[in-house]
Amino acid sequence: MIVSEALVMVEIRRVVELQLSAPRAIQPDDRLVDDLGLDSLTLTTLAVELEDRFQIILSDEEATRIKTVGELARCVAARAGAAS
Amino acid sequence: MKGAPARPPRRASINDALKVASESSVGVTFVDLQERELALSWREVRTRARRVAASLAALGVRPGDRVALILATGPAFLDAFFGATLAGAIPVPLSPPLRLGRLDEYHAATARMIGVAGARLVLTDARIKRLLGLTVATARPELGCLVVDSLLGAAELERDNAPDALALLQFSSGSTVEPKPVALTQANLMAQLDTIDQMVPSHGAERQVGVSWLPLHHDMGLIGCLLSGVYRPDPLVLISPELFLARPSLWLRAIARHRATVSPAPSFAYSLCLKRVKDADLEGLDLSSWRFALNGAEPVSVGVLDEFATRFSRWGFDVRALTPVYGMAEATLAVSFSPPGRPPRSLGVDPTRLATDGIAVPGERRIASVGLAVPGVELVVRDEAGSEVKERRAGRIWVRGPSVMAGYFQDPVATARVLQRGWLDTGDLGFIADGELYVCGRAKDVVIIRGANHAPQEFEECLDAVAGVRQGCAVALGFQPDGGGEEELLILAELGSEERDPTLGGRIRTAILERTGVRAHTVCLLAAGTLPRTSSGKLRRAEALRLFTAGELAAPRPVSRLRIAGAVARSAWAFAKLRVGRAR
Repeated sequence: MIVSEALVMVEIRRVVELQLSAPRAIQPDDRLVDDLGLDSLTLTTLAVELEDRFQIILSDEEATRIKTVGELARCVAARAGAAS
Repeated sequence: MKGAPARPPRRASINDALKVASESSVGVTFVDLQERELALSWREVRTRARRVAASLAALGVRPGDRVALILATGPAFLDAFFGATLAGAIPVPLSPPLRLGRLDEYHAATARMIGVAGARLVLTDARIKRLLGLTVATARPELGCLVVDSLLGAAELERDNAPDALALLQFSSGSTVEPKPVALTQANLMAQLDTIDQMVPSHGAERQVGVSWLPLHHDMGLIGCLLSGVYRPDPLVLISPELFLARPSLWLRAIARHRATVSPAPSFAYSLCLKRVKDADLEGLDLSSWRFALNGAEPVSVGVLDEFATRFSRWGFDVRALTPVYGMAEATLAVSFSPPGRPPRSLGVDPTRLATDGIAVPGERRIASVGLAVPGVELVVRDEAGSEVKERRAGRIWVRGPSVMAGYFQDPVATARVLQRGWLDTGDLGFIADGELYVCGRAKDVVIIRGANHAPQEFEECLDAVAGVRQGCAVALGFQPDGGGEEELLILAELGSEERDPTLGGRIRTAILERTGVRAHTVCLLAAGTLPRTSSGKLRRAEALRLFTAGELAAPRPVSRLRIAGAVARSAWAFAKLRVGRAR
């Protein structure tokens, strides 16, 4: 499966903006914690939904170093591509 | 108050209970995100665990050895847990790392717990093992870190458990800096399981069908759900906690699908359902089978109870199912239960009189009754001098009974601080009114967020690197904001200089969120020297909270920087009337 970062961004926005009622449109430069204020509950939700949607696994040292929305989208897109 | 006399437990040990369960026709079902189900009978659970036990023995695991389990909810947890007990070893369940969370603190805390428990082996699964490198390198368990699946060999083994032998180590944040391993014997566990069986009875053909998403490294999930299911034995449905957090409707849907009768959760879970479960998620479903919606592990919110009953009555949910309970890891699990078959009871008290004078007089803060002492348990409320107080007078809650721990594992000093002549100092504050217990605050330094206990130091240490905070002069506290929500994190921090930096509150919030994954509800900046201290200069957290609650702390300046408004929009001034009790 070829997954573009743009497609992953759509999914991240869906989870963060709709499911978690974020008040504004999120951008790739937004930092998950510093800017969006995501707590462990929200991060868990995001990880579970992305893993399910793109059939990947996010648990490793690299995934835990992700800081921004854009980095997360890149990581997910790369893994989804590698898994196909 | 005194519960009914304890009756002798029907099983002698975990292994005995599993053996009896394996002769039944029921078992455990795991539910995934797509609601696909994987069912294992208790017989299959036992056979798999016997295979793991044989491999553990072949590896050199001896009776009495501690085996740390770092596993998500799934068959592998049961393989490892019962495999360890069948090998005569003592399981030490620890929490797996958070998704996308920071690992530095996780590695340090987990390695420490492995060390304190003296675990000779760590069992995990392939997914989690990829995250544990540094934890294992730091803790260096003698027999290493293994993936459970690799232990399902052909040979089987089962060793006996002596009733007075240690059965389980469960970590509790207790009342001090570091989590302490609560050491429970087989007798402690069996007494507790029999108590739960009396409170939530199974009669002949009428089964108690359980559903749980609670973490299995937590007492309510492990003992209250998994081991209870084995003890009775009854059918049990398990959902992984992270799947529940991502889609809370999975929980309610599983209850409806399986016609479940019992399912416990902390107050926040009921609140999360109110926020995140949509009507459409429950279309065509029926929650009327749910007779025991137990609510414990954190302060019970009366507002959430009311709202939950009102909203979900449409799907047949019965308000009489709501059962606030009270307990702690040091007492194995449950200490009190609301009487079954009635709606939850609450009392309106004056929060100021409660905070300043320790008296429960009528007022607007509603506190839920957590009911009566369970069988075998004696419970008293005492003042600081150790004398039992009268009704409606707040004091420390002490309990005694057959499921109170023998002590913290290999830590007589910490044990002596909380256990006196068989009585456990719970560190919680409460009062008795009309014969029922009301928990109204906490004397011990613990912050409870979403049912999980945190030492305040976890949060306070995050502030060391925040410029503008007076070094070492901040306290983290759990408090219940006005409006009936759950316990939240309150930070009281002294300023390092006279100058006001408008970004300081935000930087404090970010530092805490980044390292702990917890969002501070209220950050209060105070002038230097405002926080109460002991004569030796140590900060007095409980006293700080009491002063804050009573409005006696110098003018606080709240700082709010909540970006995710919807779920957490609350008044920055909500702390004016806190749900907190008298400290001392």
